[in-house]
Amino acid sequence: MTVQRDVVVKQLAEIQAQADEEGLIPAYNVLVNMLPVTFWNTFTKRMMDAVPAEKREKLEAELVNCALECGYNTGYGIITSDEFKSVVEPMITEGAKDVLRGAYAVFTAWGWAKSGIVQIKEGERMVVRAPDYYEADIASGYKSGFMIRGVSSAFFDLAYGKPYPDGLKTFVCVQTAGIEVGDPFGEFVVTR
Amino acid sequence: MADNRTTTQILQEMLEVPGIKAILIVGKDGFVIEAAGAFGKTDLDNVGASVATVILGTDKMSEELKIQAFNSLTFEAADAMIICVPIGDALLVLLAPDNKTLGMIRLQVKKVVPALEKFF
Repeated sequence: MTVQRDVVVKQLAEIQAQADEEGLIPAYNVLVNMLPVTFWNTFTKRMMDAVPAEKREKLEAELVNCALECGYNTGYGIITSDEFKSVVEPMITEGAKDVLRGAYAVFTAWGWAKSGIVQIKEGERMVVRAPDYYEADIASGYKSGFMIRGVSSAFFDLAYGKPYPDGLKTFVCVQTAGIEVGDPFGEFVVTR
Repeated sequence: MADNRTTTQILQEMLEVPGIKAILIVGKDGFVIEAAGAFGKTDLDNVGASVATVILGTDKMSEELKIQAFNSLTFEAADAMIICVPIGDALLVLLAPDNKTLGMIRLQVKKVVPALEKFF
């Protein structure tokens, strides 16, 4: 057996996601909130447009880093949560590979990115594809999947880096294809 | 000579094989990695999930019968034929309207599997 992503997505979609009075949703050991995609995309686009060309790379790294730190801590919360244990863990038979498959099913169920794993070379390399992700809506003209880049390397850090919280930034992720630049899907490659 | 073709190029070339109507590459978890050909309005996510469920069943059967994992799986219906072949951690799924060109399809599959395996 391995993780069946449609089972995970359907079961997670049934979990109540009611925000408290501060707009925070306590689930999966973490607190999340619900904000419109246009908010995040406008935020990113305005920042990118505001910096001079020579500083764009640095800003990109910072945007990726935000997602990386968030993804590392949130990802740890998710994979150690009661929800993950009850929905995903019974299907895990291939260790870290299946934990990662489960993590991307959660990623999809939450609407962050319809994404999944193409290839894993354990502890070395992972390729992720996303046929739909909110950052694809940024009309940037350049690859803008900063969130998936950060979260993908964070997930791989959790799976194959030193035990939490010491494994952060063991791996890096680059975006090799993007819907926002005319490709049929976004593709993200994680390596050491 | 190095094979620099992408998966998209390989799938497009396979569609030129007589009889192949559509092709899917599906992860073990049911994630549809790539699709090519004529699927009409079919919900590919549901197809991917079904493929994963079938493979889960065959894996279980192999375990029960104490035989090795399958290296090719063929479904034949009155109006369609489906061939599933493992490629690394994923599955290549081919759809044909009938079994008239089954030999040709199998030959092509044998040729492309090594090229596809390096991606999955």
